[in-house]
Amino acid sequence: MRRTLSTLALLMLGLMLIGAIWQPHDPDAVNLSMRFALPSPDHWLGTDQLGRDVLSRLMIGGWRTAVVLGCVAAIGMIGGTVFGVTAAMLEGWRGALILRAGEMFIVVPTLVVALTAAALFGLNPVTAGMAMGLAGIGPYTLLAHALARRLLAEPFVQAARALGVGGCGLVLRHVVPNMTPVLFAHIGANAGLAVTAYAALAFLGLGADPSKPDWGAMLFEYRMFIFDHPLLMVWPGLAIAMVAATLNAVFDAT
Amino acid sequence: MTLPARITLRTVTSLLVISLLAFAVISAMPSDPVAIAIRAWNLPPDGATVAGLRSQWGLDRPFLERYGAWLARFVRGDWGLSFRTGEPVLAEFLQRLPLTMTMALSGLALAPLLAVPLGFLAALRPSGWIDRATRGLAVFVQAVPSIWLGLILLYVLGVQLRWIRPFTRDWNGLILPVALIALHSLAVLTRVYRRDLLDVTRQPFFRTALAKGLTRAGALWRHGHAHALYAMISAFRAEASWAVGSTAALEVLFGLPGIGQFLVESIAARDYPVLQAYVMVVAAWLLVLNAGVALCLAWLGPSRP
Amino acid sequence: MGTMIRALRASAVVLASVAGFATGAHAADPLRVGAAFITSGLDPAKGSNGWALASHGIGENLFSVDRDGVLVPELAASAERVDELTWRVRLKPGRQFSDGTPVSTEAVSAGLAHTMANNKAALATGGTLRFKAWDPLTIEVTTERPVPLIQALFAEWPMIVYGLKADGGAVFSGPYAVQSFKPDAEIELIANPHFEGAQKRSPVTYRKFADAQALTLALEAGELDLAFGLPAESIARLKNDPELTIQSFPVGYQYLAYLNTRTPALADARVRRAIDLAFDRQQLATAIHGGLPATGAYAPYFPFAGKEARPTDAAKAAALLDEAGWTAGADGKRSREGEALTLTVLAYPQRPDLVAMLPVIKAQLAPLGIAVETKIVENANDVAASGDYDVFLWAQHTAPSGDPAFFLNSTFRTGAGLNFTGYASPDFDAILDGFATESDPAKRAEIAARAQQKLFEDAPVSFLLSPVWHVGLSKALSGYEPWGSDYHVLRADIGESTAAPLD
Repeated sequence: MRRTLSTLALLMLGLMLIGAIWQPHDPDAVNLSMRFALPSPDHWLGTDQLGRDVLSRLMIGGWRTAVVLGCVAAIGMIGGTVFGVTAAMLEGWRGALILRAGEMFIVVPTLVVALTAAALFGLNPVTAGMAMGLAGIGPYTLLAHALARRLLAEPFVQAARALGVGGCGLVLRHVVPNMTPVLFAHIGANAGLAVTAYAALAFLGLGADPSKPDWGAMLFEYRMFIFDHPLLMVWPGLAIAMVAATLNAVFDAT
Repeated sequence: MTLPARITLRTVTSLLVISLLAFAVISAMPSDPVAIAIRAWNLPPDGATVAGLRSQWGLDRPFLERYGAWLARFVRGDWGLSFRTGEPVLAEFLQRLPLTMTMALSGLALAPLLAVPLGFLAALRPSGWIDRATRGLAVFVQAVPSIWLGLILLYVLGVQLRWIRPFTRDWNGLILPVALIALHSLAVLTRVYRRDLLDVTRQPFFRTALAKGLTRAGALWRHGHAHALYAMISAFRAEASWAVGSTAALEVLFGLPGIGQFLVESIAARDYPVLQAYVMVVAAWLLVLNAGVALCLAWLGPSRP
Repeated sequence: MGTMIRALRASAVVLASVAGFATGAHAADPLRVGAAFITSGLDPAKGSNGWALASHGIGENLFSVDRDGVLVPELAASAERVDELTWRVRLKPGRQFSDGTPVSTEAVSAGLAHTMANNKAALATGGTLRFKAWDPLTIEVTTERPVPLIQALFAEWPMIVYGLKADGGAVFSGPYAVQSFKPDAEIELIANPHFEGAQKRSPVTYRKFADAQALTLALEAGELDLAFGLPAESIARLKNDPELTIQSFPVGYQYLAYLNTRTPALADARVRRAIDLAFDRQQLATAIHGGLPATGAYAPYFPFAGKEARPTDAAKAAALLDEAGWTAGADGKRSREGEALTLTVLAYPQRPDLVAMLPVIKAQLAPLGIAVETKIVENANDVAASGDYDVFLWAQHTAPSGDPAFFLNSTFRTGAGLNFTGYASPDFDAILDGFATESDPAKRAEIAARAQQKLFEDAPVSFLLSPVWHVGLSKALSGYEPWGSDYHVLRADIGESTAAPLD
């Protein structure tokens, strides 16, 4: 089961990444004589209200979602690790303070942070990803902190310390490498949330460029046709659902 | 220091830090607030107005001084005037908050009430139909955007079947959004409760309890419930966070004039006083909730096995 | 026996109250109206409240534009010019505000003066106006700048008429009066007792729907009697609903594209004309499910509108671009001295039709070798004023006061307040100067035609479409006829089906 899910996840990731450089059709090509076409060999997912190929638009949207996920994971993991490990290394009140600071990021909901960022900087995958990544630092901090503490108590780390290995070296060569597998495993929980949050942002339509389709923006656009051409809205919804679900399932136990 | 005092201190400091961040980030905005205000409130664009606004907002003074002045005003209830409507921001919030709060709290309150029995039954018979149903629900709810589900339900139940009347002003109009929030939280909380309950069945003292003659249900309840409840209440925090975030899209979809819809329109209009106030309100609400949960957990704490 | 009598009496009471309830309910069932906008407040001098209050049927102007686009008297009866800067406006006798006070020269003057002092938009045409009571029913108006047609000025939306109350509030004279107001959400209206026909006028609950789909669904769910501004995509489905009537009507708003004359690429009039020729307006109309190719600056129902649709000629456009030095490379993309021809095209979400047109425009300019980047901005006025764009899609009511001069003067005169394109042509300004001295509407139409011709040649703007809007009606309001764009959603003659009460 896990193997199938992992393969599926990799497959989708592959498609999303390919979307950066190649799509079956020009996603902007308007063709008013071919609107609302049903799936066909030429247009695997049909066309939308302007005759544009839905699959091509989904793939570009997928690439943008991949960028968001990348930023979220990177910022969350790196930021959280920095906070958590530093807190573990420093004893006493300084460590506690840094831990609290990292935890603080939990309080404001992901979506609100993203909304504020969109208001200030406009909506694009990088800024949204960074903003959501910031919101995700909290859980990573706690995790990194717990892991780091446990590792610092390990005999091999104590041995390194005894041999005179200093703080930075200790961290980089012994602590962090041993933490990364577990940290990576936790990407899934946040990632699913990031995908749906970014879709919600695009849905609320905050200044996005219509020729750079995001899945959420496509949901927003196509929902006007939900009762006449219901298939249209299914595609981006399905894409979001699949990515979120597989990410959750691959990395999460329940 | 007693626990309530510590929690209060932590809440207040967190709120202060967030206020500083919110103020800092929004002060960094690229456009000139005076120019926006003049255009938005139709004021005469002469030197006197500009000077007046600049001095009123203290724009020429150092950052910390401005922050202090803003914070002092904020605490007193002067949240500034909205760029978009020209009305006092506090008044706008007070008018819209009740609707959003009712929606979010109703949904959030329903969920744990149903999650406990459902989670219990799921844990009672693992891989039974309740267990599989709740797992399916959890996957469904985490993946399918609420907007999509909401639209379908709105059309089928509201327009075609007319079982509910979605766009009315009274509680009728809130049924669907509350249901959507409750459904999402229910799915998640049920699984958390169930998982923790099942964890208990793997403990040795559980087998001892069974050996002593307790039924499976009885043993689960007596030894597992408090523990699972603890975990569920912990997870509640994340759900509350999600609920706040999702009210924006739900209000747009169902045409409810709450704080979420107001926020979306304010972002569109770059209405910074409203944004600042919103961040503060949301942070305060979640911090208070967190504090409440922390107190709850502490009260439950001693009964953990 | 006693029980039977008591039972009879009880049932009589019940029947009477049911009947009374039924009659009462029948006469006073509020009409439910939904639209995308609502007044921001009840202060007529603030922002664009004046426009919204007139649209909600709460306030009236001295003069107004009727369904055929003609300037007609409303609260005033007539106006005559005394000299270059002075007019005398005669009020209609016997009109009252909703609180019973008369619409007198003093009240009208005080209200308008208050607007003058507080709202910049009121000063656009004639500068600051001063009012004096000439006789009990006549106001003498002194304008700061010469105004050839003061009726048009008083038909402008900031010039809504109201009386100032002692508590600082305002009282209005329109067919509906405000009963309660929830800002940005809902307004409850009752018939103004001092407006003709009050007995037959049901109260109205007017709600704002920020989302077009929510508006549509509310109409379909039977929650609305009038849904104003339905999205074009839903019309086909709604027309099949036997409970609803859908009416489509042409509006005074025009969809146009401002071409920024200050950017290096668009400074050349040939490039702008090429873009104007490249737009396939029929295709745009198809994309937004309705509307007609524009004939010029004005909607076709105005007497001074052009008669011929703006032409499309891709070959001529290509030739113009070649002439201007933008040559197509091997990949079809145009460039000049190594720089590719790329344009940023903007739209704003408050007009979904404009957003829908963006991708089509991108596709229409692509065959010409013009690369397009599209962008949506919410604060359209700010961005346009800053000049930070190449092409800006815009929706504008080009004759709100029934006169062609206002739009041309405020948008294309050198240095004008709404001149977002940077267009500065002394020849064009000279044509516009003709408006200041000409009061004959036919002659004014001729001036407008000449001005538009100059705009076609210089192309600081491309007129795209004359759109059509849609309203949805329930059985209760099936007699409603929409006109006046969104300036008169609620009116005296709302078309209620007058069913007689049951007694």
